[in-house]
Amino acid sequence: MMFEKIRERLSYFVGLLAVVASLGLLFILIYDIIRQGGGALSWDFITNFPSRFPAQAGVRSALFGTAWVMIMTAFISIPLGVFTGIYLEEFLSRGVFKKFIEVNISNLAGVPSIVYGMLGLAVFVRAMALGRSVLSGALTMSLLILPVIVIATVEALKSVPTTLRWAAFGVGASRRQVVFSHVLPQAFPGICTGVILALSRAIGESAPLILIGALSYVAFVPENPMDSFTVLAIQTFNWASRPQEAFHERAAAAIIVLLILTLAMNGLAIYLRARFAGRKGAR
Amino acid sequence: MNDMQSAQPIIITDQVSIFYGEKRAIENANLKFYQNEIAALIGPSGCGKSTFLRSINRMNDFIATARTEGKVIVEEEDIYAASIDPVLVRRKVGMVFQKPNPFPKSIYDNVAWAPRKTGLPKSELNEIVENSLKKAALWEEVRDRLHQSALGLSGGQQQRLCIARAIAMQPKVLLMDEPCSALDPIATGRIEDLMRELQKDYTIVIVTHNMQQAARVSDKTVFFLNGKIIETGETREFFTRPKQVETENYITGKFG
Repeated sequence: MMFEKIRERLSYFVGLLAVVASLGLLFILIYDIIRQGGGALSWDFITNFPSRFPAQAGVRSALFGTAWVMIMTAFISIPLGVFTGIYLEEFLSRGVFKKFIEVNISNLAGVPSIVYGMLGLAVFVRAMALGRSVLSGALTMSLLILPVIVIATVEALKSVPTTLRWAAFGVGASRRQVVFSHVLPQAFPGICTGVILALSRAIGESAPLILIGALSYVAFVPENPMDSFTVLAIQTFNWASRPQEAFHERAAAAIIVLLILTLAMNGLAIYLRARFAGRKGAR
Repeated sequence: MNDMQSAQPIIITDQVSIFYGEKRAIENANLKFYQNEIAALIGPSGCGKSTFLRSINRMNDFIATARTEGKVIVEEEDIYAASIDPVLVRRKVGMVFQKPNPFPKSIYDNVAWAPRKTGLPKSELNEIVENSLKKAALWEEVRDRLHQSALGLSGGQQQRLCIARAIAMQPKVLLMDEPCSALDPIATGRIEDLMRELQKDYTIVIVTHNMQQAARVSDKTVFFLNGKIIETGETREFFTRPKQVETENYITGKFG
């Protein structure tokens, strides 16, 4: 009895320690970044192009590049990923083929991002001759997050109770109607969360984009999908690898901008989830 | 009931066997159901009565391992024939499930969803919703809150809404799979009264493992045991003078 109590206590403290350790590290990281980069953060930093003079260097091209890549990635990967998930979960009947696809998609989700970069370089940049463009970048990023979106969609669909499907089939709904009128609205918050988390992963990736040849110094804003580009993660990497201390401050400031973007996207995910979960049923 | 017996049955099952993988859940079920009849399927858990019920509107199609042999004829049509669209079968043979499962939509949309999909205009929809809710004895309770979520209703109200939803498609047959098992006695009583009303327009096949319920509401009782039909008979006869020993043992509570 005594022993049981001590073990109970112990597991509580181990859990608490784990939480404190991970949160503590995160706070130290954020504190350190703000301490380093907070001073460099200003409106000019957002609106200036990069420069060889640290005091004038800004993230304008990286910010626009990130926006271009993310928006195009979203347009490519969301429809492809969500519809793949719907097809897999709702339309494809159980069997060897389905199992094969599911296992492969799970494996793809674990492939290191740089491998996607190599694929993007070989297929989009070279074979399809799209060059080192925003489009190549977005296509590569789409490949990277596609498995994550597919898995999130499948999981969200699986979480919709079977009884709802039966209810719809029971009143003579076709499979298409069951899926699109009844199941998908219920799965929507889950899909949204998955999609946004996948995009948040893409926003911080630099390796695949470096590999396909995104530039690190861009003094213009991309104007069409075939323009060259850079993104925040690459800009940060570039500044951090400079010898001058002043550029390190810029790197920290760029990280703050990136963190704010990621935080905003996660916030959006939470908002959408809450909003659609609250709306369920009432119309 | 004799004049009805002489009429053409609305449902005929002919040598129906249902398998889950290798396991045979129903063996050679031969039954006839007539217009305006309430038939109760009884038997201990796992005897195959729900499986058999779902074969009448092809709900077993959604169980990957399930396979049906034999013929199920609804209104002179073999519903397992290759030319049949199961979606149309389910419009003709509606279903009410064990646990109330309203759509997470408004009360109105629960009833109106299916008829709307068949392309009915809004004016007719309002009428269908009102009539269906009236037939399901729910109209008075919900008329002022048709556009509120169905999930706010009590369990018994939800189940009556599910009945309204099923009859909105104007089916010929209503299948009920233990519709009262999740309800309290008062809600159960209301559903049973309702079944007597609905009988005027529909044929009802109900699965129940409550023998008192079968005795109260049904005209005909079918007793399943281990996937086989042991006995079928007019309900009063069935419960007062069972012909088979197993039936007698079951209805007197010796097992089950």
